[in-house]
Parts: sequence; structure tokens; C-alpha cells
Amino acid sequence: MERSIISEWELHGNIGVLTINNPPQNYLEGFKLAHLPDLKRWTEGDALKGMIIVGKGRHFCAGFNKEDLYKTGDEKVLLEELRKSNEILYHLEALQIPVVAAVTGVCLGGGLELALSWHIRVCSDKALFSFPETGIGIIPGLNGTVRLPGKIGLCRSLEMVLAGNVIHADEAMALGLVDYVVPSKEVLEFSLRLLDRMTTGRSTNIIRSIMKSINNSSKLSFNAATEEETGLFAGLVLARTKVMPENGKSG
Amino acid sequence: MPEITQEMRDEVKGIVYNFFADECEVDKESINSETKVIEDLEGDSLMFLELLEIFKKKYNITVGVESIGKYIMKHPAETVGKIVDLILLIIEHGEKISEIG
Repeated sequence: MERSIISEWELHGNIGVLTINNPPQNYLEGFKLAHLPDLKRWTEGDALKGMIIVGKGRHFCAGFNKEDLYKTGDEKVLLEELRKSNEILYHLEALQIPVVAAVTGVCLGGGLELALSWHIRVCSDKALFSFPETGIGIIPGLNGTVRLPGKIGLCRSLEMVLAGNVIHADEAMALGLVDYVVPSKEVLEFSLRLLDRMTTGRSTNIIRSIMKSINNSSKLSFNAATEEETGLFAGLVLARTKVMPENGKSG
Repeated sequence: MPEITQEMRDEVKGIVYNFFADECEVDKESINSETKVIEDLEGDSLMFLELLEIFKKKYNITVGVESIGKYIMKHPAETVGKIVDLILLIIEHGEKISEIG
């Protein structure tokens, strides 16, 4: 098992499991989850087909530690810290493998922003979600207000962030904030099974093509995304034609 | 302002004890009012948020975490018994808990 800042990394077959290990609250340390070069090294290579991020102990992540937040003091330093944190989120979001946030217990502020930036959210039936920032006179700072409306809509995003509401697992599911709700003790196992079901028997090339195309749907215009998909499709068809000429002829 | 009945007290106590027994994986019989959540049960401060949500739903309570925070600053609730008392105060006073001295 390898460690970087508050993250631990281990492989379960072709699935990487990153554990946020800073219990009990699993606060982000200095806004960061891990050093970006470590994350890049862990997630490179063709063997990896999926990734799960989970919290050590009872909770997923309670976000920033208030003391860390205020001790910086200097605007340039604070902006630089946030930029580095965002780079980590962008890296994980852009991975061409499915990334699952496996949420148990409490998922607050920066912790929720992490979970929002990944592809799939599985949570326990007792999980709680909230953006409590307004209660201490600030707003979410890691894309929370940017990503949330795409998941739960403008009105409910305003209510959740402005009022600082606590959302339960069942409500989170109804809102579209999470994708699956499972019993508390089954979150990691369910996530592993889910990724296994998605990726077993699928080549890295197929997984990456699908991830790329699906990611394009929210990043590019419809026409550009369609053009990319056509190119990916043609590339895969031609690759199979070369490997299995008979299949190529029969279409 | 709801009146706190003995039945309510018993119900709140039962829910709180069951919650800690279940979440901390300890025998319910080993918990008493003097049991310390962090030291004895290896619990954490966020567990109160989880408990609070259970009671907000059950008793339809409207109360902000900040209001409770103001009260807790003056009256820390470190034991299971104090948490039961705090929940009862929240049920009784709601948002006005912050005004209690």
C-alpha cells in the first residue's frame, strides 16, 4: 500500500482503491487529497480499469478543516493551494476509466465537491450530504457551485448551498446527487462489484473510448462530440477488422 | 413548543443508545449515561450530526447547526446522557436553543 498526503492506494485486481485516511473526520489536509504526481503514477498504465475512492472509518470526508482554511492568510498562497486541489479533481475527472465515490457517513463541503467531480456516486443508506460553508461566511471553493446544478438543478442547488441543508441518502438519490444507495456495510463491496460488472471482459481500449466519448458529451458541442465518437467507433471497427478479417467482411 | 413527556424521554434515550451501539459496534448494555462518546465508544463529533438528522426527521424539527453550535459552546455534550438531554432540549426549543443560557 502506498501513501500520499492523506491518501492510500492499493489495487484489487484491475480496480484501484484510494482511501482517504485522515480519520475520524477525514479532513482534507491543506485542501489536498494527494500529491498530483503520485496520483498520476497510481492511475497510469493499461492494467487499471476502474477506481474507487472511499473514506477510512465511518465517514467519507468532512471537507476542509476550518483551522487550515483560515491559517493561510495570504491570498496568493490560498489561490495556489486551491488551484493545486482543482488540478487533482480535473485529473481524476478526466481519467479514461470510471471513478466511483463510495460514500459512507458524512460527506461535507470539500468532501462533497470531491464526490461531485467523479463519475459515479454510491452511498450508504445512512449517508449525509451538505455544503455547510455559508454557515461560516464562505462559499464552496472547489467547483461545488459549478458542478452541483448539473446534478440536481438550479433551484435545489441554491437551496442546498444557501441554506446549508443536510441531505439524507434517500433524498440525495431522489435529487440525482447520488447514483446508488446501499446498506452501510456494503458500500465498498457494491462499488467493486459494480466496476467489475462494467469492466470484466472489456478491453482497456473499449473502456477508454467509452469514457472519452461520454466525457466529451459534457465538454464539447454536440457536433464535436459526435465527430469524436465517430472517429473512436471507426478506429475500433478497423482495429477489429485487422484482428479478425472474417468479422470485418461480414460487418 | 412541545411538552416533553416521559414516553418521549424513553424513546429518545432508546434511539440514542441504539444508534451508538449500532454505529460503534458495542453491546447496548455496556452504554450508560456516563459513557463518553469519543473516549469510551471511539465515536466522533460528526456522529451528533447524524443523530440530529434522525430526530429532525422524526419530530419534524427545524433547527440550524449554528444554533446548536452556540449552545454546545456553552454546554459541551461529551457523554451519552448529555447527548440525550441535548436532543430533548432541541425537540423542546428548536431554533431557540441558542437563547438558552
